[in-house]
Order: sequence, then structure tokens, then C-alpha cells
Amino acid sequence: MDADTLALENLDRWWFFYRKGLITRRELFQAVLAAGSAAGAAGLVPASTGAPRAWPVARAAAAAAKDTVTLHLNSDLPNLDPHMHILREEIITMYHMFNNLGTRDLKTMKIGPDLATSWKIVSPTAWEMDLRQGVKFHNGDVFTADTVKFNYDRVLNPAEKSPQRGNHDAIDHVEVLGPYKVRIVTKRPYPIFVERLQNFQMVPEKYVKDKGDAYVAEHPVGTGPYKFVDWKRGSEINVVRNDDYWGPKPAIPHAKFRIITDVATAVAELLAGNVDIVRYVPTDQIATINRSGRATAKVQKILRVEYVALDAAGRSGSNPFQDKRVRQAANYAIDADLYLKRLQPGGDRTPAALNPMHFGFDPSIPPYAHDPDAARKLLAEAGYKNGFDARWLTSNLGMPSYQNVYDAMAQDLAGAGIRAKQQFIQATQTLVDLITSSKAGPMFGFSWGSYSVFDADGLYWDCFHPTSNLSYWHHPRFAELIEAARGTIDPDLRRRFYASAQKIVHEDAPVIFLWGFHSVFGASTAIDWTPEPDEIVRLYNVRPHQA
Amino acid sequence: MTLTARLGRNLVRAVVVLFGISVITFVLSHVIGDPVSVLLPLDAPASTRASYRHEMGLDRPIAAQYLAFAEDTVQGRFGDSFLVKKPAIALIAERIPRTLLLTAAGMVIAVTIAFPLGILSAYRRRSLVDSTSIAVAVAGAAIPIYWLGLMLQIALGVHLHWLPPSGYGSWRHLVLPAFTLGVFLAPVTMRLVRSGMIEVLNQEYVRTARAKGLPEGRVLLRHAFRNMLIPVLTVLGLQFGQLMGGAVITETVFAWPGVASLVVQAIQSSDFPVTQAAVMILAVIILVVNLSVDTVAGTLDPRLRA
Repeated sequence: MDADTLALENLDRWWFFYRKGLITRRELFQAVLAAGSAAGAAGLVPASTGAPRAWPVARAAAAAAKDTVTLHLNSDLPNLDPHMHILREEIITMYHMFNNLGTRDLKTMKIGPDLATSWKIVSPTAWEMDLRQGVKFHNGDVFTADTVKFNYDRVLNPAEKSPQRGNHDAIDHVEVLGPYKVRIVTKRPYPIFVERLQNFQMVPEKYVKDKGDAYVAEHPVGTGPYKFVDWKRGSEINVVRNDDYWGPKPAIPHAKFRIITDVATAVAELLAGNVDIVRYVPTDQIATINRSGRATAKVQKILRVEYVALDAAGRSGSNPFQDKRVRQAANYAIDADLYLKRLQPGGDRTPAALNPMHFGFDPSIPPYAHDPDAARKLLAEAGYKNGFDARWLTSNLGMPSYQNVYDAMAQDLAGAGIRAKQQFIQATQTLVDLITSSKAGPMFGFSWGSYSVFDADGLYWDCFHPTSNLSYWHHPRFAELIEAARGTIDPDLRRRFYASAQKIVHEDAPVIFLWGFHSVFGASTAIDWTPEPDEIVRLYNVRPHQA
Repeated sequence: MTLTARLGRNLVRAVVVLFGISVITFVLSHVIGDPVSVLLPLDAPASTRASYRHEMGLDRPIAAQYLAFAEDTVQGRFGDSFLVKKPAIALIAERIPRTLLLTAAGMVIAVTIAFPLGILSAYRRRSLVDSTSIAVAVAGAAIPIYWLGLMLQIALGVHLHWLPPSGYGSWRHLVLPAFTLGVFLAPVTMRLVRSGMIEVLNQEYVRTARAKGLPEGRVLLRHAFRNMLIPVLTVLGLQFGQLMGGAVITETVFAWPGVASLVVQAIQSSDFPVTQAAVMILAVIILVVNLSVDTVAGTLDPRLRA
């Protein structure tokens, strides 16, 4: 037993002695000081050299078996109904209590079986699926083909007002072919059908019908590796291991999702040992975390990409970016490779806005080089020899240390003649409102996670198709190409269409191309875990670290 | 004026203030964001948006929307939160006790720091105690509450492990945020106590008390302190509003799930019902506190009756 534990233990003995009159008040005081300063000095001195000191009691507890794994969420969830939200935080939480029909194999990045054991396409607009048998929900209900039909009907039903309806609106209806076999009929050929399987959780039919949506939204029942325990609103969500789980059981019996809105607080909790995984760590905290000895910073490339959209279509009014040469000039003006090297924990350049991890990405397209002379020449050709001013709407879109990058970009753009004035918008939702109401031009930042769909359609359709209210670019040939790619399931044909589409996007430059993020996670040294590239943290894969 | 007359008049003033606050809240929250975009997926077609807007009554003229809002507010109906689909008032009711606990604890700590220091400073003017107290007060007023909270969190929570760095659940979780709030409030309070005491100590009745031969302690505490108390308490009541402001930052830094952090999240997500309800309810609480303090002060000291 070391000195300060001894001092702690003896403190109540000292008090006892004092009450009995065996020691004077002075001696008691000295004992308290000694205990306090021993701990304090021991605590403070190493703290100043960077290694925090655990109270002996806390250390003992940590050495015991790791009972709970804790993930930090940066906002509270609106509900616990997997069909009624659009938040990444909730996708992650729901993944623990529910299963999907398919799930991504993180080694091959392909969708493999989960609640569905196999699927095949039987016609361009129909898929047949075999379902896993012997799967029970946490309340004992059985998972069958009827469950699948119920879930699709529920999310597609306009009366339910599910915000995820648009994700599945290519599906026309589901037919039950047997107790564990379904046919899913689509309205048109639906090439990303399989990708979408990994983000649609299955809820129990009888439970939802009996209890109603409002109850189910606070008492989730799924088939997943963890069971719901409680939800202290604004504070935390607790789940416990499902010992009847049909798949591999999680190594750690309890999991907790702690809601901490301020990232500095979350990092503090990581360093204190109360939180095991923190997402979106600011890059300036990487060194602090790695020095602490209690956690390490892990960088992982993720699907999310960012770009600066230019108002090519003139949705917000006429502006210089309607000229292709001006848009190309903007791309030549910035030095993305330098920003990636100096201001980012890494990143993958996106020469045509697609992330290299999107299916259909064409690696043969070179990204724009940093060429301020070319930029100035193009601007002069377009008639802007003396440059021009432009308002640039920015927000926190998930890029690590974004403000440094934006400032560097503004400087480089101004050097070429494009005097971009940043206007920072606090709430991303407000920026999105402006974008969808055509008020965001001539320049605005944007990022897109593609709903974890690792397919070019997951980005191109929502961000660049002329009918999308997020797109400030109307290119008929591009639209034809992605419509064709969407309308067939032949992967080689799709690749060809997307290759042509990417050449158009690259050359026409509707945006200033930035990069796919390398996101920074903080992970406690008490666990073994690697960050997932699809932005879905899986606590059921976490193992306690064996020292 | 009689007590009831004063109460009545103060109530009327409070209602007028509330009306003004409701108008400002309503206008501001409609300027910040568009709730339709919050609720519908990004690719919702324009027709869906239009019908949604109509369902929520957002296409009526703004004056009509305000009247409907005012009518509902008076009856306590703030509508359902846009994000959570529960009545806004339920979400706030859940969290208000936690914020009140935090602000009360902060007030207690502020008073514990400020009163003894203030009295001592006034009593021993221009001594070392006085200079130090003033220096500490200035430093305390200058230190940003966010930085202070963070430093306490890192020092006592992360490095020393004496207290949990954030969260809610036990008395241990209350210590750091309450202390941060207390330190935030203490400097002004200390200065007030000090100047109040100085003024009182110069009064004739204090000299009389000393001349009578009363021990110094009794002079200080029984005579001077009580008379200084009333104006100080009045200002403390007014400081309650400051406390709420401090609570916004404290609750965020310490992940304290109170109503102040709820308001911040509601504003950032354009959740109108919760924003409006929270602001109105907080305004009511602050008004009630001020009203009570005014009335009590007026009752105790007739010179304060306006």
C-alpha cells in the first residue's frame, strides 16, 4: 500500500483518536494536512509533467474487469425509434439495440448477412431474400418475414411521417413468400438496394402495434447485442448485454452513451477515464490526448467529404461563378495538398467530389494543382482582371480544425483575385435552410456523409442532380449519366457512366473540390478498438485491453 | 402605499415586461431558422414542404401567428418540441429543478465567499485583507467563466480525480459547476457587501452602539450587518438573472442537463416551441424573484417603497 492510501486510511483513525481525546486538535490538523498534501503534491507534481495521477482507489477499480464501455454523444437524441430520426448519433445508438437486414463487413467493406442470410436479384425490379431463423426480440417476440414487411410498410407509410422515408422510396412493396422468405419489389431498378440494407433497423410488429409509437420511442425493443436499460434525458443512455443474442455476444457487459455537448468537456472526461471513446476530436487536442497516457488519438478516414459550392446556375442571382473559367480559377487558386499536410490530420482529395471509398470513383482523374498564375489568367479571360468580391457562407461541417483551413483558403483565393468574405453560420441547420431556399450563393461550404452509402449515387444524386434543392449546378448531360447509372444494376455499366460523369464534374468545376475527412477519435487505453470508416461506432466490438 | 397595493402595482409591471419578452422571443426565433427544414429530410419535394408548412400554421401572417402563440402561452400550451415530439413544457419542467439546484448552490457559494470577505474588507479598510480582497474581486470578475470552469474541470477532475469532471447524479457532480458559478457571482457581491458595510459603519447609530460599550462583534453583526443586508439582498435578487446567464455556460461545460443547456440546443436546432417556452418560463421565474425581493425589501425598509 503506498503512502497516500495509508494516509487516507489513517484519517478516520486520527479523527477517532481526536474524539477520544488521545490527540490534540493540532495533531489532527497536521495529520489532515499531511494526508492532503501527500496526495495533493503527488497529484500536482506529475500533473505538471503531463502524466495525470490516479487516486489509488480509482486505480484499483480500473484494474478490475472493465464493466462498462462509454461512448460520447454530442447531442441528446430526439427519441429511441430507429425510423423517426435523421441523426448520426442515433444511428450509432440504434445499431446497438437493433439489427439490420444486412451489415457491413469492416474488412471487405461489403454488405454481408445480418437478419437476412442471403439475397438475390430475380428481376430488375425485384429482390428475394432469405431470413435468419430463431431470432427473438428482447421481449420474446419472434422475427419473421412478416416483421420485414411491417417495417418497410411502416417507414413508407406517409401517415407515420418518417424522415427516413425518402431513403427507401424506391421500394414499392414487400411480399411475404414464406415464414422466412420475402420478395421486395421496387418501383425502378434500384442498384443501391444492398447498400441501404445496412442502415434500416428492424422493430417488432406486435410490440409497436400494441404499445403505439409514443411508447416505443422511449422503450426500444430490438434484436440487437445490447438491451435497453434506461434513458436519463439530456444525460445518458444505458444498455446491458443481451445474453440471448443470436450472434457473437459483446465482450463488455454494460454500455453507456453519455451526452456531452461541449467537446472540451468530452476530452476532459476521456482523460479522466470516465468516457472510453470520443468522436470529432479537434486536431489541437491530439497531442494532449496522446501525452496523457490514458488515451490515444486515432485517425480514421471516413466517407464524409466537403466542398465549397459555387452558384453555377445562378440560383441566388447572377454572379461571376456562372462562368466555368471562374470556377476553374477558384480551384487552381487554392493549395489543397498544403492544407492537408499542415492543417489536417490527413485527408483524401476528391477531384470530382467523390470520396475514393465511393463505388464508381475513378482514380485516373487528377485533382486540380495549385496554380495561381493559371487562376489569374482564367479570371482575366473571363473579364475579371481586377478580381471580384464574393460572400462565402461557412459553418462547422465536421472538418477537423475547419477555421484554420477556411482562413488559409480565403487568403489563397484573394491572392488570385477572388476576395471571398467569410460569413460563419453557427447552426448547420440554418445554413441548410439557406441552401434549400436558394439564398446561399455565390459561395457556401457543404459536407455530405452519403448516409453511409458507399456508392457514387449516395452523393451525386442528392448533391448534384438538377432537381435536388442542394444543387446549384444544372448540367443536362451529367443528369442523364447519373440517371442511367441509377437505372441499371450492372456494375461495369454503372462504373462507365460514373467515369464519364466524373470527367464532366471535374472539368465543369461546380464546386471548389476539397477532400474526404480523416476523422479523429479519442480512445481510452483501457479498450481495444479501431474506428469504423462508416462513422458508426460499434461498442459491441470493443474488448477490454489486456495489459 | 399598502402592501397589497404595492404588490398589485408590481404585478402589473411584471405583466407588461412579460408581454414585451414574449414579443421579442417570438420575433427572434422566427428570424433565426426555418422549422420545416429541421423536420423534413433534405430532399423533401417542395409540395411536401408546403403542406407541412400549412399544417404547422407557418404560412399565416406573422401577426396571426403571434396572437395564436400568445393565446396558447397564457394557457401554458407551448406546443410539442420540433425535435422530440413531446410537449415543450414537459421537457422544460423536467430540467428546471436541476438548473434551480445549480443556481441555488452557486448562490450559496457566492455568498459564502463574498460576505465574509466583504465584511472583513469594510471593517479593515486599506489593510492587506482589503487590498487582497479587491484584487481577488477584480481578478474574479475578469476571468471568463468558461475558462474557469474548464480549468477546474482539468485540475480537479482530470488530473487530481477529486471530483467528476462533468455530469449529473450525485452531490459530487454539483461541486465544480456550483463553485464555478459561485466564483462568477462572488466578485460583484463582495464589492457590494463591502461598500454597503462601509456606508453603514459610518452611520451615527454604529458610533452610538460602540459608545454604549457593545463588543465589536455585536456592533458588526447585530447592527451594521442587518442594515446593510436589505440593499444587498435586493441586488442579489437582481443577480439571479446573471446567474441564469452564467448557468448557460456552466451547464454546457459541465454537461449538466439543466434548462439552460436545453435552450442552447433548442436555439441551435431552430426548435421554436422549446426556445419560446424556456425563455418565457425563465423570464417568469426571474420576474417572480425580483418581485419578491422588491416586496420584501419594501416591507422591511419603508424608505425603499417607490
